[in-house]
Amino acid sequence: MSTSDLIKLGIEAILIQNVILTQFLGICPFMGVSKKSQSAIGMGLAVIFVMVISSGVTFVINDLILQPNKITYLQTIVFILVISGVVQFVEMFIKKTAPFIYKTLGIYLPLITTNCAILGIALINVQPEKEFGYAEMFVYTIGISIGFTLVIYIFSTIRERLENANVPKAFKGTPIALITAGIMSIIFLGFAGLV
Amino acid sequence: MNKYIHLTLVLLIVSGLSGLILGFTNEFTKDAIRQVKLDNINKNMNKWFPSVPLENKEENATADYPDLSDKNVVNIYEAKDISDTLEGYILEVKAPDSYGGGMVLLVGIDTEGKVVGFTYLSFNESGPGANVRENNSFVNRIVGKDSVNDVDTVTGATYTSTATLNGVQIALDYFDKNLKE
Amino acid sequence: MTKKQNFLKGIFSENPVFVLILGMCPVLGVTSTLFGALGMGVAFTLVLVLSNIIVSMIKNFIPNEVRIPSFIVVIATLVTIVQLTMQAYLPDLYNQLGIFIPLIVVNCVILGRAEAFASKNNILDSTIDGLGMGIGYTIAIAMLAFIRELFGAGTLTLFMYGDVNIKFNLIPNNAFEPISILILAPGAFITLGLLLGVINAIKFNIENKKSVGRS
Repeated sequence: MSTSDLIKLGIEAILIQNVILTQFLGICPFMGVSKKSQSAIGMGLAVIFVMVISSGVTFVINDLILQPNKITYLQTIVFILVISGVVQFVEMFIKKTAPFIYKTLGIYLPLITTNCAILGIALINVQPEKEFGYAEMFVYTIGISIGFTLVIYIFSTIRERLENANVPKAFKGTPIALITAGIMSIIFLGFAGLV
Repeated sequence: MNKYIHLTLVLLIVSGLSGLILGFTNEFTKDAIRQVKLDNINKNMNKWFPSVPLENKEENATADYPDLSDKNVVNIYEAKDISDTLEGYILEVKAPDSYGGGMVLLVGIDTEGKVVGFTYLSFNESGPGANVRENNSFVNRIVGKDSVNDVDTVTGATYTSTATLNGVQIALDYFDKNLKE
Repeated sequence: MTKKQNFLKGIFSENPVFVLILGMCPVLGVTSTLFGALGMGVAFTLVLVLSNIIVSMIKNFIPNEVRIPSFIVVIATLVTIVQLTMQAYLPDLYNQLGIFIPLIVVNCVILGRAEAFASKNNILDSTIDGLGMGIGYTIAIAMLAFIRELFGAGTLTLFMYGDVNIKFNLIPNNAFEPISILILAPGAFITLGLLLGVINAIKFNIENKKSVGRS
């Protein structure tokens, strides 16, 4: 793939194939950790960090161990174990080396193991019809995780305002948040013809 | 220390058992999974080229065409009738720019280079235009053509129908370049 | 808690989708057809019941420190078995659900029930709990899919396998255009939001009547 193709793939991953609004992955943190923009950014950064590392590791494992031995049916089980291992390791590592980062990201890391975006993207990266090489995988994963951070941040700023809005009692909280997300999703559909 | 050995042992036993069970399941379902794809191709082969008997095509149908010049063309299957005369081809193509990616088409082309039929092998269901596959008038607009550049897209599903047309056109271009006699 | 209460809590008072708002990814991702939602519901219930049974069976042999990893391995194994079987014998369903089948592994509901219920209760209670939760989940996503497919495409798909295609077309002769945004991505969010709102409204209404009756 040429550089311009890679740039195209990156933009596509951020906006067109947005992980939350069009692929429906990572909805739990999207609804759960978006009440304050501060925590949304923390979650977003933690996802960028973990997603890139775990997608890289799982991609290498798939390429070097699972594919040559024709045991790709073990993908799900191996990937989820690797991801939970990576999350533990990252947590220990930044706790020792960068206490400042740990303070901001620390509480989100344990939540990430069950964030389906992480496992989902790791599995999508190795789908045979995608035919990703290392460069494509790297660009796509970074794009997807930036797309996640972007959307969860925008959504959190809207929700902060919604707090003060006069919403009918029955629609307070999750229902109105979902409808807001739906309107954001309509906007993101508009990016479909971009690349 | 003893405790850690014990913990590791428990995890190893659990994972080992799981691996074993999955190995058996895979052994059991492997052939059926391959058969599903073959059945799909055979069924369409029989539908689009009625003189071709329903039988299992070998998986390495592309063996004669080692040089797939277009990376969007994944597989080529020959349609031959009982007396071994060539009726046409079925091309498995990836449609670029489909919504969310991942659209794969089977396109049947007869020896004169006309589309005899197409179907979706995989499809992004949550994308817009999932109902294109049920749209008979869209299918009829494509079947019988030797170029689909001027075929109208489906209103309300422009994106998906455009991707479909691109995929069919890739198959036709490949046929013109490499398979036409 | 009686066995009946244990079963019914998953459907009403602790419904994983409508009350606990858990495991939302497939709720939004596979509900563009009724068939996809029902298939997902069955696969989910199967994995949940089996994982509850196995976890409550092995809970005494697993040391506390490696509890969670062992549960994840058990769940991942069950999911892969379901995935391979579906790929072999129900390919149409498999294609429709796609990535959401392996993602059952990280569905918080399943690990949550293994951890919160099955690791503390006996096999029978765990089975009932799993069945109740699974059926509650299935009912919820089937409701959502029913609304989305009916108004978004004008059809109701019940079953698809090869040439067998049980599908009701409820708009004869294309008499009017369905609201196709409902089967697109935004429709998933909006329909679920409206559905939750309506359920809340009904709940408040019942509570109001009760408190009026008491005073």
